[in-house]
Amino acid sequence: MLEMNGVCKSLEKYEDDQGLNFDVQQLPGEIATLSVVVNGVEELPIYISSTDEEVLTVCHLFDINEVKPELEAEMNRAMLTMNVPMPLSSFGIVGSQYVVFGALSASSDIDELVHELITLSANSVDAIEALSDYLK
Amino acid sequence: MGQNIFQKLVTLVRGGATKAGEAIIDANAITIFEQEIKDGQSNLDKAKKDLTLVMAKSMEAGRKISGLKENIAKHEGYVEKALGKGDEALALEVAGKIAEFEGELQIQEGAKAQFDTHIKRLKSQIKDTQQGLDKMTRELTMVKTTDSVQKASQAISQNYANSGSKALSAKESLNRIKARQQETEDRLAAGEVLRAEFEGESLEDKLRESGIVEDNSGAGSVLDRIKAKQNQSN
Repeated sequence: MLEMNGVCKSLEKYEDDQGLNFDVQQLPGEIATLSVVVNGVEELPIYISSTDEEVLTVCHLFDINEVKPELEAEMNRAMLTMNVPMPLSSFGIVGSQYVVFGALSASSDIDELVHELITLSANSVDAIEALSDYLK
Repeated sequence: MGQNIFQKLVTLVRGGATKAGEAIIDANAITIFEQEIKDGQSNLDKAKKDLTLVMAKSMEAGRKISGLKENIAKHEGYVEKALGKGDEALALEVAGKIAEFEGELQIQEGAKAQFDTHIKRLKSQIKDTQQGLDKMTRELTMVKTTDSVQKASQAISQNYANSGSKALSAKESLNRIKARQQETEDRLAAGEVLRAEFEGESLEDKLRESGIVEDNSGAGSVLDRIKAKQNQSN
């Protein structure tokens, strides 16, 4: 069972054989939220939060204002098309922000979460790169 | 039944009402939903209780009916016997009893038919209520999940907005990340080249110092080589 305090401690200790590690911060607020930065990708922090059923990992890509207005519909279509083949993550919209997110069962273990975070981080960079023609 | 949760979300999107911080799920909606499910459950319990009661009554009527039928058959036998003995008056008295039983039988059969219709109606009512409850419970789970996911993603958005991360556009972020990745790669590659050079050089030096490798690049060795060639040709 993934619980935010434990997740925070485990992620802080984590380091893989290529020196990949996480910078983790616990964020204030009513709902336990973590901000996680994968080293080398500091500009795209990943936020982790959980409900009874699932652990949500979210990375903000860009604001709707950054999208060329005339290409918005086309971009949305492209994102829906990319959604299916994209490993582990999906695109979504929260407010005015385009996000890429993953959802894990709350009964997942920490290794699965680490895998999720690394994949999400790579997906975020790849997605912005792939979508940059649609951005101002 | 109203809109399901996905229909509500689509309606909100079409109405353009998806501004950050806006609650998709009305705070009261879950409470109302839960109350409706509770009411539905107590209706269901009551219907089930009614059903057992009516079924018991139907069984009781059934027992009475078979008892009456037995009695009628028995008394018809008595009538035959009385007639056989030529006792018309007794036969008439017993026939009167039979008529009484038949009247009662008619009443009980009518009652049983009513109970059975009632049972049918209750059973289908229970089935419908159960199906409705299952659907509502499924929807409540969806509504609750949507609500908690919304709260979680709002907490995330709030923190994101406060973090100042949004000061950079996605393109700027990408450029920085790419530049950093390139720099890391360049540094690794440069380190690799340097390491190879240092190691190669020092090894050669050591070998030369120990005389294992002869120093054959200097002027001295060139002269020696030419002298050796001359001696051979002489």
